[in-house]
Amino acid sequence: MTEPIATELLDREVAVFTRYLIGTTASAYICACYRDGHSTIPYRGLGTTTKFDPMLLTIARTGQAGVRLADAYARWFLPSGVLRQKLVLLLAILENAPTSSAATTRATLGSRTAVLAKICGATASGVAAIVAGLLILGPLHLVTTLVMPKHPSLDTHD
Amino acid sequence: MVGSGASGVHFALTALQRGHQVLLLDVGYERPKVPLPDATFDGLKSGLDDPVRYFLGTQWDGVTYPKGGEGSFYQHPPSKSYVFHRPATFPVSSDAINPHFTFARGGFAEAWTAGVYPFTDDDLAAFPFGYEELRPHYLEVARRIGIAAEHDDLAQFMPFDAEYLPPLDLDSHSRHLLGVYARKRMQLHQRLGFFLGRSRVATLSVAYGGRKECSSLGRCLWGCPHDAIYRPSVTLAECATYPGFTYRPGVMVKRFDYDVGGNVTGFEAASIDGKGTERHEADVFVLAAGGLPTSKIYLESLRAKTGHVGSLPGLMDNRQIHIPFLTPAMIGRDAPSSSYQFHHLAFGMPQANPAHYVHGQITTLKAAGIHPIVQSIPLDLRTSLRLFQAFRAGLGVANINLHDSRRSDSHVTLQPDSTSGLSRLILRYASDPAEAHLIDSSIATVKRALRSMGSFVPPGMTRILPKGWSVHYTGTLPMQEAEAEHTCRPNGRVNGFLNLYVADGAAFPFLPAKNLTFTLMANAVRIAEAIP
Repeated sequence: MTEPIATELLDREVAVFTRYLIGTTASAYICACYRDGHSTIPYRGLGTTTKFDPMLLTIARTGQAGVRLADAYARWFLPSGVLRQKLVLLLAILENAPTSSAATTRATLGSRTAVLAKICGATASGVAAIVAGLLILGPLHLVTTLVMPKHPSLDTHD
Repeated sequence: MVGSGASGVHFALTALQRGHQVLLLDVGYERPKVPLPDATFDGLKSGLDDPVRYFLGTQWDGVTYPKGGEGSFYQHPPSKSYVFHRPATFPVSSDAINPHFTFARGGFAEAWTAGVYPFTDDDLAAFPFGYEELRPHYLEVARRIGIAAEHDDLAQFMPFDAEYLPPLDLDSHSRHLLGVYARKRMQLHQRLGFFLGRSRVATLSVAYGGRKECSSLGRCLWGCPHDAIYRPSVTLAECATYPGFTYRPGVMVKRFDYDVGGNVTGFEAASIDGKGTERHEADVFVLAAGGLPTSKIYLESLRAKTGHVGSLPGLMDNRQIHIPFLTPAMIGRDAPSSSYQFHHLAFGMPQANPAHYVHGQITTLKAAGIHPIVQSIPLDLRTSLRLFQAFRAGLGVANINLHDSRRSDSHVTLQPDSTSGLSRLILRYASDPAEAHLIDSSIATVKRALRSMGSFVPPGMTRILPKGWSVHYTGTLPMQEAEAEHTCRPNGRVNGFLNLYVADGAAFPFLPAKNLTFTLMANAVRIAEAIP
């Protein structure tokens, strides 16, 4: 795969994933860190990918809804997979980069009632994302696993 | 002598004070320069040119990727990687234990969390001496390193008779837990046998011995820039002020030579950069390289002399268990990173056999990396991050330590390689069958105690860490009264040798649950004072 396409895809990922995680635009520094860190991401060295990983990644790159759905599904059904590895790498970068650290690491302040209400809302939303992921991606995962004859290479995707 | 860890430097300082000449041989990997020494943890992120590489490492080894529920919730940061770097010339294989090694200047205590707890007579029951014999050496070490402590309910498990410094300022979560405990302590004592108090830490609450007090930068995990947290390099620097002291870094001691009468005649050391070997002669030879490297030097020396590969039974290490918890009463409060980050609180749980006392510490880290914790929440990462931020002020980890005892099926040996000439260190560990019950009962008690104090333990997040994690490798050349092969006399002299001493954890005949470093240092002082 040629390097410019890989870079373009990685930049697309970091843009979508950063907005997904903390709701802001990724700085040039964050993009550079993600490209550099991505070269050491475990799945590339270990080759521990499944047939469904590329499809999940493609869905995640489409935008906020896609990455939320794919991430919620992956947390339960591909917890150590490619998408989760990429998101965890980016989270590690965001928590340490100067422009995104506060947004990532700050505690939620307020009355206990208000914060508990936020917790309940976030949990309900998270559970809904898992259910939606299961309904939409579960069958795709099953079909991909059973039908696809060949393990597609991630090289064509990143 | 060999080794600049906690045992080695305190042995050396005592020997120097008594007028001996000391040559200390060491690999001695150095701590990298500490950046922006007056910056806070958050200040580093805005002040460094490349904060991400500082916190995650240039090789990105500071990123904790999903592993399916295994491992710790936190790990040593890249700035401490020098502590755990092992040269390729020290090959190791292990079974049922995941050992770590240090060849750093200062040893493992360059990356410790500074917990210091004296052993009692119950802890020392298997040792050939009791607390009273060790007491003056605890006092001396406390005077040297500075210990912040408070007399509280834990004093019944660890004597409170050294000249301690005032305790550190509590963070708000630890203060809350201690307040709840004060109201419920009788119930916790009587129903659960759970006792809480302040951690005793080798961290300065006031300026002491030329070191600055803790200034709440929040950089404890990455390395205190002002040495408010004691590390052996501080004592090594003090040794260097003595004219009789010579520090020789960059060499790894391979073995000692000895004659038929058991008189050690020299250390053979190899240059770490592969530029040959050197031999050092002395009147007295001291092994303080750490439990496993000391065992290897001893076995390699016997093999070179006799051709026989020996085996040292009795390898021990503390079992550690991490129990994350949440204190709902803290929700909505701030969690500032500018505070002392390591454990403020410790707990004790006595057992029917007093030597099996269970020890623990409570950490409410505010400045550790968050991505290892966030990814473990069973929801998508965005939601998990929101929940983590909401819970943040109330998050903590109870870290349980269990004792270990010597068993013949846990041992250390060598596998010689005639091709490379490098012997491989082989570790075999077999857990005590009784440990499973103690693990279960300790986890259950801590969970109930936390619940009683208003905290909540999320299901499925308790981690029983693999053997080797605590890096308290001991027991392979135990001190005992009886003369026997592969043991030490009570004064640390190795049986069968006239002038060879072990001053590190290899000589411990039992491993209590309490953090051992304070006793390592005190025992090294005790042995140095007895050297003729």
